[in-house]
Amino acid sequence: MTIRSLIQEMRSRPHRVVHEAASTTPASEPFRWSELPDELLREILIRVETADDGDWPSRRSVVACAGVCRVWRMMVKEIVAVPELSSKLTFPISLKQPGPRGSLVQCFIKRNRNTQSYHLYLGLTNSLTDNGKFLLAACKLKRATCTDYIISLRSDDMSRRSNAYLGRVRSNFIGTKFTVFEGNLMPQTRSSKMVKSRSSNLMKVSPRAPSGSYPVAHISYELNVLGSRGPRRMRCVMDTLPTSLMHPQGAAASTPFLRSCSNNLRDPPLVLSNKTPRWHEQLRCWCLNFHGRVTVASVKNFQLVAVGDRETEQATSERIILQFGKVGKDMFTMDYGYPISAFQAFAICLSSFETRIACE
Amino acid sequence: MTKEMFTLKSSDGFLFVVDEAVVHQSVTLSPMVQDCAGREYPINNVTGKILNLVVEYCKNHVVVDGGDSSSSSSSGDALKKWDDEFITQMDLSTVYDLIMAANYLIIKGLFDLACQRVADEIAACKDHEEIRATLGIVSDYTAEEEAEVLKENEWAFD
Repeated sequence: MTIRSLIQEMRSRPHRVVHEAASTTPASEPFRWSELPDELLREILIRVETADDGDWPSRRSVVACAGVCRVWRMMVKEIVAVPELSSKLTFPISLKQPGPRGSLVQCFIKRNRNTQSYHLYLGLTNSLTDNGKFLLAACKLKRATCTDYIISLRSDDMSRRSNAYLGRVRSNFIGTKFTVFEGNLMPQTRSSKMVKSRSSNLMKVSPRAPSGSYPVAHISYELNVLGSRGPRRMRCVMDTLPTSLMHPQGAAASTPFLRSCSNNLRDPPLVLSNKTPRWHEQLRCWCLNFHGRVTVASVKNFQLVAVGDRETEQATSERIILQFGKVGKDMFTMDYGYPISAFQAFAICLSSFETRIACE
Repeated sequence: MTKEMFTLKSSDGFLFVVDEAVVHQSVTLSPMVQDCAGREYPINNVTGKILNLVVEYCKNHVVVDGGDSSSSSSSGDALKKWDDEFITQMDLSTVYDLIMAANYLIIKGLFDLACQRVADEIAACKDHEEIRATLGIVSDYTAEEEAEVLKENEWAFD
């Protein structure tokens, strides 16, 4: 081969750029982690879930894991125990699940008088000065014959058409009776219903809720025998929670979703009533033991217990299911437990803000 | 008494000569002590690169685990420090292989260490998109499921 032909041959070869072999970064082997056997993925996700102890903002990692892909989502939803068992709130659905049995979830509510809105936060420390974890927002909508409090997952989105909408509390004209509605107003199409049932099968702890808006509780306020000089009487009928839940063997999480149990005479809806304060002769005021969680006297403060006998409304147990009270100018604590959820608790507290009974 | 030595052979033909104490750390390999002295024992699903790391881990853990149970806290701390350095310097692809190997060989300490490394990596990610990018996982959600995920994450990150 002559030198000329060699040069010609070299010129005719395409100019090849030699890349260095890529280092073994995860990105160069894209699908390996997708192929990790389920039982090994589970071991990793369990470690992520137990690392944060239910605290926020670290709990976000668990939510992030549930957002990666279907297999991860299914596994995370299996691993995360319901609030009834773990006392931890993890997903938006946790706000509609019953609280823990042996303790109360400690939250606080901030009121904004200018915007007529209320924000519910999960308390992260024992102090009331922590920022907390945002849970729910509510805003007041005054209508011609009633008032609505819209409850949403997002403080900047109060639209009833939005997927952040969770429900509302509607008061009658004079503010003595309230109905809590849950669910969203957008009817589901057939195809989306089918997809939803597949994915909700994976969430064994979350029963499939009917679409549309439906009542879940009725709240009423009355003056007591002393009129406006005495504490008001509150009564909450929890339409979707049967009384049997209060038995030691009753389990809200495993109960199939009940649209309404008001027609079931053998297991009627649970009724909550406010604990009667005692008159303190020296202090000349009505007192309840809030165990330090309420520090400012207010007619809005209350503790709810379950009542059994409709006639006498005797408390079936002294266990506090919901406690609400003032701690500052626009700050209130809200502590709730089994069998009501954060959403139901918040809704009941909103009615306490709205009612004008005994507010002189 | 001379220590008995055993030869482990990786899937790609590398040989590792280790003593009995190392072998006993693997529940899978432990029984081979009875009948494999002097012969090569093939480990068909672990490469030389990974088996090297496994052996290194086991050798380091023999020193403390093989000793008395009341080992001083300072040696316990030193071992933990060694473990941290050992696992942290690895890239995730190697950690993946290590998890598979430790699972097959049933070496609990190594399995825990490797899984925790991945869990820590996940916890350090800013959001689900970053987890996907870090581990090279592709989303298989429908549009409706993706909207649900978005709703959850917006609330969680509020």
